[in-house]
Amino acid sequence: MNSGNYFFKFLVLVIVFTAFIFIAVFFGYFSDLFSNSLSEWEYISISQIRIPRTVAAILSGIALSVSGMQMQSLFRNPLAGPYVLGISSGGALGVSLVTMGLSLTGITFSGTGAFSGVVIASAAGCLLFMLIIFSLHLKIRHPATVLVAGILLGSAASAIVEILQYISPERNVKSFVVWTMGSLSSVDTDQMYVFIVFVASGIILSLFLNNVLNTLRSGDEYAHVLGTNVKLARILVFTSTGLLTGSVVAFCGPIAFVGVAVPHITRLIIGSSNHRVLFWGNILCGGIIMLLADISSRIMFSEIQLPVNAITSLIGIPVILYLVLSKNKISFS
Amino acid sequence: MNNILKISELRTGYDNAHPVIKSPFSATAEPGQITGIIGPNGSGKTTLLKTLCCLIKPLSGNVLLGNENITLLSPLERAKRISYIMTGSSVIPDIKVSEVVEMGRFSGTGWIRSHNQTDKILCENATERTGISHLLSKRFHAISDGEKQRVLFAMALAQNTQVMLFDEPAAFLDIPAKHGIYKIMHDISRTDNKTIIFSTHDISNAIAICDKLWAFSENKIESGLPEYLGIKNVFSMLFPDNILLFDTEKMDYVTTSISNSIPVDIKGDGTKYKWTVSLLKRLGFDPGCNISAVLSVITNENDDKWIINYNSNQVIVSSLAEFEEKMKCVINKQPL
Repeated sequence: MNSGNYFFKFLVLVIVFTAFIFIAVFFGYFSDLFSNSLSEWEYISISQIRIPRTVAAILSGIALSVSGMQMQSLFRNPLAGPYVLGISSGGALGVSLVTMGLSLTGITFSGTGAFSGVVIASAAGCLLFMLIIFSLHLKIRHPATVLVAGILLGSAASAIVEILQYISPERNVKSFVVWTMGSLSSVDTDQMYVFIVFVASGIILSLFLNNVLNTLRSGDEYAHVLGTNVKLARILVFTSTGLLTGSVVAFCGPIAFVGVAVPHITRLIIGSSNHRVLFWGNILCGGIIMLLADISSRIMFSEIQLPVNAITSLIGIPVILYLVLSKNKISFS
Repeated sequence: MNNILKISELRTGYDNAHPVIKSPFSATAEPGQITGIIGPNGSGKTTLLKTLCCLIKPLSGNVLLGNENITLLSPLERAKRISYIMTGSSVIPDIKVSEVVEMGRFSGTGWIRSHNQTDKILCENATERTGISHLLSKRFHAISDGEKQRVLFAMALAQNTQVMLFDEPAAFLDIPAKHGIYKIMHDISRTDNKTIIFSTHDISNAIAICDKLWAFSENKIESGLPEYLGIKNVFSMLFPDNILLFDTEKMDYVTTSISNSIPVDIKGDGTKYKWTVSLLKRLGFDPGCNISAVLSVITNENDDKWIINYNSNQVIVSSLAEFEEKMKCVINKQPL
């Protein structure tokens, strides 16, 4: 609670965050930037490509980390993450139906701009799965059962996806597989604004959930005794996670491991489990990690860009492994 | 302000077909009083406590605090009036002790506000009253069970409610920790004028500290002064089998001696005598049988000897281990 203790840590995080934004946007153009000689072409490249991409990285980092934190506290499980409710499987199902399923029937469906076929399909799939989880939740008492339902839904979705992959032509399968690898570059300027609106609304909702999550850490019964309306709290947490995770899956694909690993990294750095502090820590750390992933996916090999999931996995897995191996470090919030 | 907790005609349980508390229960608990709930496992102690903090809805009847029906209060308003600490502490996450205490302030801050000066003072006061200031920076899972219970008391105190409910607060604790907990309860009931209700299996201590007892037995609930229940012989009838009897000398339960125990006449004095009697009881003898002819034991406080007379043989042993061996021979009907 003592804000003085955290001031220095947050100051460092803000500085790193700002530096990473700068690098992500202007990397390769530094000399031109400082000599004030950005050409027309460079200006377009920065405003049309670099900025949307950087914003996508920041938004997905923030969204996944905050919803990962919420899921870990709600389910009191250190290995929970934004996808435990099966949201990403819903997205994958939607995208697979568009990229592979529709082409089998001969229809092509491809909008443009903010509402391209893939984005719509993915968002619809996420929403559908969210609604299923909601209606199950109204019947189920125990939160762990919702977790099981999420896993089962995910398996059912991937079964359908596998069938589609098996019967579809190679070209379509590849475009689906590329989607599952996650991509920050598919976000254009129009999509960027829609993405901002969704993540911002999820984040604003989350602002009101930090105190409640502090009580939910100790289970439903204590949360109730301490004054939480547990049912309402859980529905709002699911809604914010749905908004945050759903929009990331829709615009960037199922970006892996960030949502599980960053909340732990944040807890280690901040040294608190108070959600009022962790929330801001996750926003900064999530943004930093995704920017780091984006920058390294571009500079590791200058010729090709690596898929972003490869990078986030390479960053996330060692962190999770470290946490699992050193027992005392892994403490669910 | 009238802050009496008034339970009237309450029936409660998890489903209507099998209520845990079957016959309607009425009682009151007043500020500044400690009420103890006693009774065998499964008699509904925890169910009643959970009903009082609205974790379980009553099947019929109601609970009033002052003039308010507690089941009609919003979660936050209820949490400003009633706190509850469950038995055990396994559900509390491994967070800093200070953060556990701060959780108690949720009813004050609500969903949005952060801690203000009042919240901080209440937390500090709670920490001080329970004597856990030195633990604040430790992690909850790293402290002892007795300390954990104190921390949970601090959380409940920080909640700053009129009614405080505790489910077996002293279970699993060693004797000093247990008395520490009772002392805190007594202290907060007297100085802060709180209404304390707690369940316990530790009946002798409950008699010693409670202003009132609610005794749950299979079919009915008796309530009143501990001594009143004692005079009505409620304690002996609490556990309906014949092995346990309530001994009013010790103010605790004693097991009745096993019927086929071997009578032994033991003479002596002091601590050594008392422990020898304890050993004989444990082995299945019936000490204090003055007319016994077959076996007699003589101990003296000042030497290391036990004189055993058995079947007109006399054996003198000089260590307790040897004495135990000889007594086992008696049980097995072997010569000494």
